[in-house]
Amino acid sequence: MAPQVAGAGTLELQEAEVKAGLLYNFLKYVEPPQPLPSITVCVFGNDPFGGYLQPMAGRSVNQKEIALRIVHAVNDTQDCALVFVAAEEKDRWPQLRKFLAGKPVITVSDFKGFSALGGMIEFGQENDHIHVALNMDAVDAVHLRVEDRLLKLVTIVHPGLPEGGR
Amino acid sequence: MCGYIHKKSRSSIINGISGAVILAVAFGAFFLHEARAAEENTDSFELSPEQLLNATVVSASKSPEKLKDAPAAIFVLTSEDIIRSGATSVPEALRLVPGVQVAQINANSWAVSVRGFNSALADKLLVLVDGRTVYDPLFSGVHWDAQDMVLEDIDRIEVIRGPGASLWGANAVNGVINIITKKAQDTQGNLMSATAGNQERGTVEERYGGAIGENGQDGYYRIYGKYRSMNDDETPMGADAHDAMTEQRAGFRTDLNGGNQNSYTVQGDVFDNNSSDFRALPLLAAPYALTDLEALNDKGANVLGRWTRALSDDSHLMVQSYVDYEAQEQAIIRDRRTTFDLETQYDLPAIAWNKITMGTDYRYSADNLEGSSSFVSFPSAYEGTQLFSGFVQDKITLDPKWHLTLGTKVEHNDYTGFEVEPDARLQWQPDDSQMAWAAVSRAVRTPSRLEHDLTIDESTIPPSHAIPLPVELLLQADPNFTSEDLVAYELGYRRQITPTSSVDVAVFYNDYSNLSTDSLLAPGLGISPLHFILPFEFTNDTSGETHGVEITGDWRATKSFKLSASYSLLMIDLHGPSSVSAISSQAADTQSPSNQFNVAARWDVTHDVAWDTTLYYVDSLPGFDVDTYWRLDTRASWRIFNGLEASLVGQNLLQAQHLEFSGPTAIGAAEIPRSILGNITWRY
Repeated sequence: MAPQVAGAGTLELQEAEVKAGLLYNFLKYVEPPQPLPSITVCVFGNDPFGGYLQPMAGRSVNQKEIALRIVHAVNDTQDCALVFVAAEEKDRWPQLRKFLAGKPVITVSDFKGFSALGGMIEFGQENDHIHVALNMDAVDAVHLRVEDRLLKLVTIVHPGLPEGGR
Repeated sequence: MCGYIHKKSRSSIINGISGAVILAVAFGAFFLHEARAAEENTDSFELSPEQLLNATVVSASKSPEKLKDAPAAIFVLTSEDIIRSGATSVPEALRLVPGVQVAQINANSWAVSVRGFNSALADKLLVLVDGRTVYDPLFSGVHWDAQDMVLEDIDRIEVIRGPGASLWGANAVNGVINIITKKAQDTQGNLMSATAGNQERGTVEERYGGAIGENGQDGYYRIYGKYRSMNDDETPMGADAHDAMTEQRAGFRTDLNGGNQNSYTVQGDVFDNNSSDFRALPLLAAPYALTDLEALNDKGANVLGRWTRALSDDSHLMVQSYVDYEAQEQAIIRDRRTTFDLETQYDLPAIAWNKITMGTDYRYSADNLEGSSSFVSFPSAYEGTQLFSGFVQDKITLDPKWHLTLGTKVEHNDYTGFEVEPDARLQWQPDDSQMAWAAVSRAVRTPSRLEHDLTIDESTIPPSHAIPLPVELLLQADPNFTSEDLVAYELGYRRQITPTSSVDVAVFYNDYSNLSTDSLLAPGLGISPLHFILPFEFTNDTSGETHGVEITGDWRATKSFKLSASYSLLMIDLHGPSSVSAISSQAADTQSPSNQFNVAARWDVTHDVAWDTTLYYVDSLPGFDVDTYWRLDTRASWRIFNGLEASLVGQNLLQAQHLEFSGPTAIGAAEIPRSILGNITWRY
């Protein structure tokens, strides 16, 4: 257990706050193969961020304003730059994954096993810290480029691509 | 100071509540003012990925989204809630939970119930520790003194008010409490903790967690040992209650990563508790009752294994088995019980709009009873009973906003045969910030071995002018005693009002039938010496209704200051036979408080100093001469340096001592004193 440095520098945040902040950083440090015309962050399912995600709308990445959207239908994720899959939508993830196959959409979730099931970025929690597993196979398959700064902070996993090209 | 009956009028109860509200608001305003100054306004979008990944996550519950969306009255005590409440035992921490009645009887025993019918052996509440039931089939109820652990190792306590029988089966009538310990991965390293105070004579805990394989790739484990010792309290008469307790326990948990979507957990505990209390033993000659200081010993051991396999993206199989041994010794009876349990649960992949879960359970419970023949008798010293059960539940998505969950448990036990416990829940989530739900469910409380088999010499009524001979009250076994039934109707609404405030309201109406009733039988005559025998037995002749409301609210006023409050109303109306035979269940309406209220303030004064205060209000219990009481607990903690934390706790600060409940035999109860304790915890 890595001891926590006490005093200044250690922040205490809500779980949803950390995750929302990280989503913003993924937009910053994961580069699409072609520049995007617009940046839409989608939550697939009910918003689990309890109000912590909303303030991201209107902020900018690469001089482009971020729009937020809650989607319930797989087809509505068409033009999302990033899709956060609510844990309760775990059951529909295979369907969504098929739909997004080949599209340079960053997929993120916090249900256990997400990266093993072809998701790109999986949030986990260890003691009282959020950690991130990055599925390099899924990221490479759609030619997203993850900057070194982020790569150094995450756990890289290579689960392979889901069978049958799904 | 006690022993008087103070009948509180309704107006004084209401005054008490408004007093609490005013106090809470004043309290809140003061701390807010202080806390605002200390707040740093962090915007998580301004933070670097390094800062975010290094940040400490303050709410640690693993699946808050899931619980937020559950169509039931659920309250979760997180690890942080438990530690910061200052509680030194599980039942103490439960005082924070709405709809739960918690009363400490003495240093070694507790009465805990949900939505009423409280007693030292509250029989309508099911309690599980990591999936292992700790409900005693001999007396029907939970021995709270034996449900201890290293409190730091508890991940969360989920309290479900209302029936949980469609999933958990019989005895999950008024509620279910699931105590869930942390994964071994989350308890790595050393933890040493020492606690001492005027009531806590001394508690020492040591836990070590390690990794298996390189970097824990094969899994993690932990082992722990705990010694706890409590001081004697005083009886209401001011005498020594001789209720001190010493507890020793040890245990382990191993979580193995089996690869290929398999995970395995093996865990176990051993414990040995020694305490004593006063018990009145009936005599047929003067003084007709002997006050006996009885030694109580409770020891046990359990081991549990669980295998979970992810079959596909959304489908899981779980197989769990445990063996539990417990030996309880009291003055007149000794029970040694061994339980074997094998459970399976299968989450099917979603089929169209259906998400189906099903499971089975087999349990074999064998006991060996020894009794003092002058006070207790039973047909057989050995008994093995079997329980077979299965459940199925389907969560149907009617449209994105509406879900209907239908389920039932069907079980077979050796006393009452088949029991069916269905449940229907409708939920409406118009958006992600609010949810409303309604439920109808049935649950049963099955007979205990005591009700089924035991004949107990309860007490002797001394001779009087009217009846010149002593009267022996004899509780007789009744094999015809059957299950108590409940049909519960519930409504709930929860709403995230702002990102930092939320409210949860639940309303219930419970309709009971076949409640346990002590019914008098034809009197007889006994010899040596000549006396009357007044036998009575448990029958199912009482019905009744309870209704109530539970409201909780949370407000994270600033990053460093949080207020939470809850209010519970409980009304009980029971109808027994109109004869003289009104003894047991009918009294239940006077043994649970009608109004309860608490407000908790959590303040992170600086990064290293926290100060938490909780104020509780509990209505009087007219059935037990227990007065209305206010209780104030406070805890201040200071992180001295990395890993080393000191805390000071004051419990029950408003009164030198007060009575919270009465024992199974009234003389076992003690005054619960003001308690001051200090703790040092070192993690390395």
